[in-house]
Amino acid sequence: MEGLFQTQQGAGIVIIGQPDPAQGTLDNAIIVPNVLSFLTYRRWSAEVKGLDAFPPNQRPDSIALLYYSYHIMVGLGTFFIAIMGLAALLLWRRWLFQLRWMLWILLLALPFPFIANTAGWFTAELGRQPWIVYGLLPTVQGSTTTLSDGNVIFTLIGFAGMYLLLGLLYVVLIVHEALRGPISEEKAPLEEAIPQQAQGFTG
Amino acid sequence: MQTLWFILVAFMLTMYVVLDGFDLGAGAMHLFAARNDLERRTIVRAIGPVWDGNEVWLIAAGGTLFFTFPVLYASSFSGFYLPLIMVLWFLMLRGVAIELRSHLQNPVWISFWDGLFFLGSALLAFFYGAALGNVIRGVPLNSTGTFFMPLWTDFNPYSANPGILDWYTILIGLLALAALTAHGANYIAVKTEGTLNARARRIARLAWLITIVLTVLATMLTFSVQPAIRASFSIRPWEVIFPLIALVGLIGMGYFNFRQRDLAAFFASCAYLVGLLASAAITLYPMVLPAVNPANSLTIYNASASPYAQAVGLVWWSIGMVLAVLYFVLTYRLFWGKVRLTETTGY
Repeated sequence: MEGLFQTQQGAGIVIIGQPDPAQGTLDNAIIVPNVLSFLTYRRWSAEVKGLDAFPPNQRPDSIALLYYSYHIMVGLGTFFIAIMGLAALLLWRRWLFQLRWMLWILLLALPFPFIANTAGWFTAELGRQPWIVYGLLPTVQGSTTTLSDGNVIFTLIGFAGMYLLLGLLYVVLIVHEALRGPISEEKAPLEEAIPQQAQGFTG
Repeated sequence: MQTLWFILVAFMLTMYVVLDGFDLGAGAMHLFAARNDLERRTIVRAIGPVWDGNEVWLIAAGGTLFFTFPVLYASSFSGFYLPLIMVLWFLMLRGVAIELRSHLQNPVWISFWDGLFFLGSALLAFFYGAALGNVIRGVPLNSTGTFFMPLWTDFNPYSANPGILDWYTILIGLLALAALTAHGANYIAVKTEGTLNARARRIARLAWLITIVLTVLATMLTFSVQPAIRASFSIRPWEVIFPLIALVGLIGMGYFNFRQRDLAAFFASCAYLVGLLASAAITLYPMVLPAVNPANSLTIYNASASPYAQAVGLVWWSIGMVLAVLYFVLTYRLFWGKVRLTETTGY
């Protein structure tokens, strides 16, 4: 997940960088030292096992994809905490609805939770390979023997179509709701509109 | 222990059919019972608070199979792969239809979802019946306890290589559709008044007549398709009580319908479904999935998890069940009584 190829003490956390699984290196890396050790073992100088501690046949197949999906998930998560904190502060100070740039950020952040969620599942499913139950059952042995590829592709296409349909419907309904606009904008002054808006976030 | 789990899983599946059965049935009959948007919304509102809770019983039964009879779970979920995924699609579309139909006040949009709600509900009822038919008839298990079935082969239940659909399973599917439509119509009759109530009673009566004919047909054919059932009755004659429950329920459905006692008719259709499913389960016991070649059948003995796993499972199952029953009682108490909607009530 962290693109840590060598076992080391005081391992750092990677902000950005491109892993090269063949060479076992991380290119153009920006690393905050010791943080990974602290997060894993609560000690700044603890030893963290790198991929070299595991034989090649027990490493995940797509290290690069795993690395990126994990970083996208964590990066977006950090971003969410930041804008939520900022927006909560602005809401409390009653500035939120005057600052158009902040509302733009919140609007454009709409697709990010879906991306972060998907990336998180990639992390979980790629990261546990080659095991389906860690240490007990390899994925190769856990798959069903009686099912043909054709049937799996059939259902995969079906699910893709289903989610495409549901995704489109979601967009249509969101746009429909958004075009109706906030109910009280013209009738009430902005200060009175705020409590109603705030309720909208919880409901 | 295995026998206890067999009873518990059968109990959960029966609960699922009885509970989700009425909202499937309501979906299957709503196009015919409700003539305008207000009546449609009344029907959706009648099942609205409970339909998703009802479906949890299916998921819970699947999860229970996973830890009590893992071999059965693995074998049947692979073997019934195609129909299971299709059932999943229908469940998704039907759920989406219930949730989205009132989001846009556009006649095309609303009609589209109403149609899908009908189609999904009716096909699910049919598929569940066909699934039961498959389990009774048996599947082409090989000696390793696995199989894969296409949707249809030669439509012959006596074939060595049967498909999901043959004339026997189609018959059971139609029986399920008729019985659940009657069941759902009874429920809607309980929950509504006036013209909608009258139409629901009429549909219940019609579906009841079809159910009688199909029940007689299916019962006769079942003995021929699955010989183990006759053997089971001669070993344990007391099993006759379950078909009798179904028979009493079936008579009650018609009797209380004519007497216009909707709630009693609804409980009669519950009894009919319970009796029918319990008969199927008890007469197949100790098999959990009969094979075309009886030597390969999965039974509670060769398909079960270790005794330790089943004992631990029992503790957690009991805790989960207490919560489920509490929630069940709470929801049905909260939404007891007739649904009254006016033109201005939103969904």
